[in-house]
Amino acid sequence: MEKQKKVFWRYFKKNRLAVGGLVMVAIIFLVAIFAAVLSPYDPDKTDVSLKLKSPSSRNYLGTDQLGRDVFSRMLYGSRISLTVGFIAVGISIFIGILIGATAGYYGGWIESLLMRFVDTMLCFPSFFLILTIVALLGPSIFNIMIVIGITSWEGTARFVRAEFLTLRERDYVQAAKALGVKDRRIIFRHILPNALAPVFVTATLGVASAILIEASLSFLGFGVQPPRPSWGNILTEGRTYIFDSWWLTVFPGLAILIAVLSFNLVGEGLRDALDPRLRGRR
Amino acid sequence: MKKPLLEVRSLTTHFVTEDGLVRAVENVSLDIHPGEVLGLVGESGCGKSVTGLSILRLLPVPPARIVNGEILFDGRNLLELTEGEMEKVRGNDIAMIFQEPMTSLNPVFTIGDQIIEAILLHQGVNEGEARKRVVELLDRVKIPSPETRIDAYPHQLSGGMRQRAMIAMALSCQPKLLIADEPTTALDVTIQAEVLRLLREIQREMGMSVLLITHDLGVVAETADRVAVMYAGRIMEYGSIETIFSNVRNPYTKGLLSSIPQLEEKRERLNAIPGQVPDPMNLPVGCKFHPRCYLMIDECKKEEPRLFPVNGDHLSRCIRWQECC
Repeated sequence: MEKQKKVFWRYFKKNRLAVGGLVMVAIIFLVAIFAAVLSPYDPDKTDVSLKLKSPSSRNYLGTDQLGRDVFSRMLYGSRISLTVGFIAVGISIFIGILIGATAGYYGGWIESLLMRFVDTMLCFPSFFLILTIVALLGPSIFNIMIVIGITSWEGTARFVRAEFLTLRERDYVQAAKALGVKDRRIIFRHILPNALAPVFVTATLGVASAILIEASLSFLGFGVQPPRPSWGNILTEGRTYIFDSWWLTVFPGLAILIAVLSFNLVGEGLRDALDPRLRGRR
Repeated sequence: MKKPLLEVRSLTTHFVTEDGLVRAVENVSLDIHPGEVLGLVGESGCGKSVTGLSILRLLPVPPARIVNGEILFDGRNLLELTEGEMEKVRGNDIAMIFQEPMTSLNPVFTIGDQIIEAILLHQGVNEGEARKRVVELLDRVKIPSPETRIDAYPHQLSGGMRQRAMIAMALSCQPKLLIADEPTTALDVTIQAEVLRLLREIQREMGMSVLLITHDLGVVAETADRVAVMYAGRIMEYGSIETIFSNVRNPYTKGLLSSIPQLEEKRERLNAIPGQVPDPMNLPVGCKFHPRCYLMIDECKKEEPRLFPVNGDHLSRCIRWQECC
């Protein structure tokens, strides 16, 4: 195990972009955790006398139409992005593993049934499905996380099933059965740890796409509701002033870009380092 | 004689495949007495492993199907137990070790964790107690410095050590019967002898019964009390080790014996049985061995011979057993 970690690091470190992405992810995390300490002003405090000021030493990223400090709002917005990203991915990975593992381990009609269900889910254009559900349930950060989670597990289910199809034929699975170990325990304790590497990769890439979906929903007004700041809704509020006050749209846009890019770079770095076939390609 | 621990009666296992029906095991009967080692010998694909897996009901259904027969263990028919009852038998009453020690241990756990799991599963002890037992077991199978090796991952151990760890795992719940499927095939010759000696030693000490599945008659000669020779899913000859080696009554067994190279002989090629193992989907009519048999007569092609009693427990499936050998 120790050795495997070392080997993993050796390959991961070779990928400069991935290391850069990891550093950025770490910074975003710290920012989210210490948002309250780092922000110079209360993100919700309005002061109309200060509205639409351009970036200056007083307001690093300027102020919006209500005179709120954009820098402070952006810092708090990072919390939303990360929370939605991680919890939505957590839900989707959980469902994906459950369905993929069951299908892959048992095979037969159980597999056919579950995988046809996956195919059916994949037929829906997921963004419109999300919009519909949010429209029905009402927009809230809680609903968004659950909805993103339950519409993005299909990919995980597919490759977890594929992993299980090969892993269930391993001798150690047979050996565990010969010891009288129950199916559930074989699935989760004996096979799953061997299939976790690609799960990590999809999870990381999934965080990026969940952040993007949350920003899109907030942009459309179906996401986090103002006055609560999220990168998506700061962007949408700034849209009206795009020609006069560029800082209201450029900075949240950049933040989304950097966050999504960083998670994607880390995910790709993980994939290359964890898959022996991709090693040494660079 | 005492009642056998395991009685296999007319076991018939088939595989339903897209290409046709594979009759892997046909009407096999065996018995193993307490404290006895029964060797099950035959070429690759003769059905010996399938017999072993059928006893523990480890074959995937489908494609496998146990069509007929009884497997009586301690008087209970294993084929009639529910899956839940069967889980209690596996590992606890009957344990199994496999051919490939390299792949039979899960690479993500330490060997200690894997053996502890078996103990916790069947014996009502706490984790500390289980860990103590594992150290004793590892010591028993002669793994040096067991206190540290208990935390080793499989890739940190050599093949022989891994097979010892597998044996420790199989013995962890003191099973009454151990099914050893080619336990030494993947090991090199010197380690083979050590592992066999260890198995035999522990078997005597614990009074455990062993079903030793192997293609190696040498292994059987060293380890087993009785032998069953299988060919094409059938038992060809069955008897005690002494009678089989001194009084062969079946041309197939004879062929196997004469293909073992002798130390004194100087020859370029091994004495092989002519022909090939028949396609299990397309077995010959009559005696399954007749196309390769030097004693073949017309009658062999017509009807499958029954198991003729040679002498007491010694049985042979050959109509010319009296003339043979």
